[in-house]
Parts: sequence; structure tokens; C-alpha cells
Amino acid sequence: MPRLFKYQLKKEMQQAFPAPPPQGKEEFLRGFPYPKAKRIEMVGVQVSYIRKWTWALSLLAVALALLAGRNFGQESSGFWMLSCLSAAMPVLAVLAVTETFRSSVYGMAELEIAAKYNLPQVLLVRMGILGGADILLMLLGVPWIVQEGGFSSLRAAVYLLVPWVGTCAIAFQIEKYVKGREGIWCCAAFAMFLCAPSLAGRQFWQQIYGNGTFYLWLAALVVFAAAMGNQVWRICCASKGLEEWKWNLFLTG
Amino acid sequence: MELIFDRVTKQYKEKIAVDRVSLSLTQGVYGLLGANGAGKTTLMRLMCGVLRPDSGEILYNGTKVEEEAYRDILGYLPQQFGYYPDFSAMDFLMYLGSLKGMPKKRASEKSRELLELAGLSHVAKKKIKTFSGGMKQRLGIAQSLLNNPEVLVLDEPTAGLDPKERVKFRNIVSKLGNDRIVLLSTHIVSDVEHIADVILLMKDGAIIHKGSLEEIIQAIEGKVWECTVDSHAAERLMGQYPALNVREEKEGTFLRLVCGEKPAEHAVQAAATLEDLYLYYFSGEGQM
Repeated sequence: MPRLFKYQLKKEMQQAFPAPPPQGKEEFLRGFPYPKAKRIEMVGVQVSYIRKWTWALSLLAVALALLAGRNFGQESSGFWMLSCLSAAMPVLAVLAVTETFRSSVYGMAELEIAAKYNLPQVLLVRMGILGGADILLMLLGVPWIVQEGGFSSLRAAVYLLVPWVGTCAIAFQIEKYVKGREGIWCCAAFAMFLCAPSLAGRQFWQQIYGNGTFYLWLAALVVFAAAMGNQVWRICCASKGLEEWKWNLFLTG
Repeated sequence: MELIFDRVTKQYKEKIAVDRVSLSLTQGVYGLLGANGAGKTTLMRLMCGVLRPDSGEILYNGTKVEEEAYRDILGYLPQQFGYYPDFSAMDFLMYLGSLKGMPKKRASEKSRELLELAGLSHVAKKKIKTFSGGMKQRLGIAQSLLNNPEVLVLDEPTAGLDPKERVKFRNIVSKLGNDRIVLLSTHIVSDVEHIADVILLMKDGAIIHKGSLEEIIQAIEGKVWECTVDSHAAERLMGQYPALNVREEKEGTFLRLVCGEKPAEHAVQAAATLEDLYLYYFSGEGQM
């Protein structure tokens, strides 16, 4: 049978006996095992959605603190370096925490809560990424403080962690009760409030960073870490659907 | 495919927003009608796991709505939603695609397909902040379909759409209802009339009627009357019976009323519509 004839026959058969409309096509397509993204891919995506200026400001805060600590200290340069870095910690903390405000500020919270990887999970990821980055930046400062001030590594780490963890814990509380952008301003104001004494309290350095008061720093760290741990625990519970997500939603309608 | 509400209650301080709702939804399009404050949005948020009920539970094929497995098959369009300011339409869909657990390649393919469906292909790279209200709403509808959901919840999806867009939307939703559960709320009665297989009427947090259009308007069938009377009689009748329509005409005042008996000598019976039923139940509610 010539090829052209075969082709024509096929074409005419198709016209004479059209295929029935597909039944259950959608169901079939839905049953198709489309690959799902792994959780780690979601983490990678979230890194790219953290605003660039959050990274830039965090780096700038630490760079300025190190620069000021190296170049503008005249006496007791170890204490000065510690004060400068300590003053940068609330700024780092507020930049990290306010990243979690974005969903509610821009009205994305409800969409994100109803997604597979929901808002609490997204916040945990963002906090993990930014918190990890902040701790890395903190670690950069510790050897400097150890070298300049003669503190042990543990003490230097505690002096930097207390303002960071404290700001995080209080900023989370602010986030729970103050709506959207106002919350960001409240957190920023609170961070400035914490920065100022670090820089202005030159005459109190000996008392603040003395051996006799170190146990107070440790106690403060434990209290703030417990408060922050509680907040993180609540987010974990919400991410698993064990608790309602109430933070900063202010749902209407 | 079955979504079950089992005595679900949600209370905000003194106000009971959802009051012991028990429902079973199978595949099809469900239209939720009710006045402002009737509890529609709260019911939808409970269904999407955005809110947790104070008592009762909601299960989809045995899975609790709070679980990740349920959110994986859920599509949701909230009444109001925003977007990150630097997002283009494509970025918005890609971002939500990643939260819905879609690999980048598939999210990209599906986003393009849905932008085409929503008539937004030509503005895929444009910032959302330059979009009109209708375009944003179409983008919202597109994102709700990203993961090809089995349960689709649309809270006032036609708000901001022009008549042509609404007709297109109705056709899409009608098709979607063939093999999934679609619940949509709206104030536009004609939308529900055209696309919903089952209508749910909600009042004071409770579902007061559930059924097809024909079943549901049975409640006032034979009770809708039209008449033209003088202004004094019109005032008296409006005080006595719920008025569905009042219009001043040359001959007097035209009235469309709901009442069990003939309200005036020249009154004629009219066929009841869903709008009549809506006005009958909700006249005086949710007014400013």
C-alpha cells in the first residue's frame, strides 16, 4: 500500500471516528507522581528571599563596630572594642527579627499559613539562616575582644550574646502585640535604647564587665535564652498545627 | 473525596463567629452566601487551617486540616492578600510555588500556564504594584491553582473583576468543580446562581440552608408577590412584609414583597429567585 494512501486513510478514519473526549483526564494527571521539592530546597529558596539590605546592614553594623573599636579607642581599648561590638548586637538582632515581620506587613501571612510549608516553618527557616549568620559574625569579633581586652573566649561570647539574645526575645514580644510597621519601629527604637548605654557608659566599664558581675551576665543570658526558646517552641508547635498562629495576624472580616 | 466539618465552633470574645457547624462536602462547587459578619470568612479560614476551631474538627479524607498533608492539596484565595513590594507576577507565583513544595522547573511551567489562563502573560515580568485591582485578583486566583488542588477555597474571588472577567472566572470554576471540592463565598448572588452545585446559606455563624438552587428557593416559593400601589399603601406594606424591591413609577410605587398571603388586591405572584431569598434572610443585616 503506497505511503500516501496509508496516510490519507488514517486521516479520514480519524475524521470519521473522532476520539471520545477524555474522561477523568484531570484525575489521571493529578495521580501522576509529580516530583515534590525537598525541604532543603525550600530553605535554599528562602535564603534568596531574604532582603539584600538585611545582609548588607548586618555586615555594615559589624564592620563599623570593628572599625570604631580599632581606630577610635584611646584608653582601655579592650573595653572599647567590647562596647562597640556589643552595641552592634541589638542592631543585628533587630534586623533578623524584623525579617519575620514582612509577611504580616505586606499582607502575605494568610497565603503563607495555608501553604504546604507554612508561615511558622518559613519563619523558623529565616530565623535559622539569619541567626546562624549573626552568630558567625559574632564569632568574628570574639578573638578580637580576647586579644584586646584579655577576656576569656567564654566571657567575650557571653558579653556579645546577652544583648543579641535579649533583643531577640523582647522583639518577639513586641512582634506579638504591635501591628506591622509600627512593630518594626518599636523594635528599632528598643535596639537603639540598648545600643546607647553600651557606648555611653565608659565610666562604668569596670563595674559592668568586671569579674564580680559576670554571674549577672550569665543569669541574664539564661533568662533571655529561655524566653527566646519559648518563642521558638511556640513557632515549632504552630508549624506542626498544634497551636493556632496568632502572631501579628490581626485578621479581619 | 470528602471534607467533614464536625460540630465546628469558633468564638471571638463575646461573638460566636461559627456556631456548631456540621457539614459534609464532596466534589462539586459550593457557594457560600451570607451577610457581612455571618461567619463566612471565619469558616473558610478554619477550613484552610489558618484558624483553629475552639471545638469540633475538620477532616479531609480522615486527615486533619492542620496537617501538612492537607495543606499540600489545598488552594486558597483569601479575601484580602498582599505581596512583597519588589515582586513581579512571575516572582509571586514562583515564591508561592516554592512554599507549596513545587520544584523550580515545575513551578515555572505551571506559573506560565496559569498566567496565560489569567490573561496576565503579557505582564508576567511587571511589578504587581503597577497592577489594577482586577489584575491582582486574577493573580490571586492563579496562585490558588498552582498546586492543582483537590480542595479549593475562594473567599470573594469575583471582587474587583469586571463582568467579562467574572464570566470567564465562572467558566473556569465550573470546570474545576468536576473533580474537586470548590467552596466560594461571594456577595454577588448571580455568581453563586450560575456556578454553584450546592448553595450554603450562612447566618449568625450557622448554616441555615443547604441545597441546590431549586431546593433552596423552595423556602419562599409561592410567597413572592409584586404589586403597584399608592405611597400610603406602600409604606404600610413595607412595614408589614420584607420588601425585596421598591421602585417609584408613574402609576404609584412598585413593590416586590415576601408574604404568605396576597398582600394587595392587584398583587400577582412572581417566581422566586436566589436574590429574593438572600434579601429575605439578610435584609437589615450587614448594613452601614
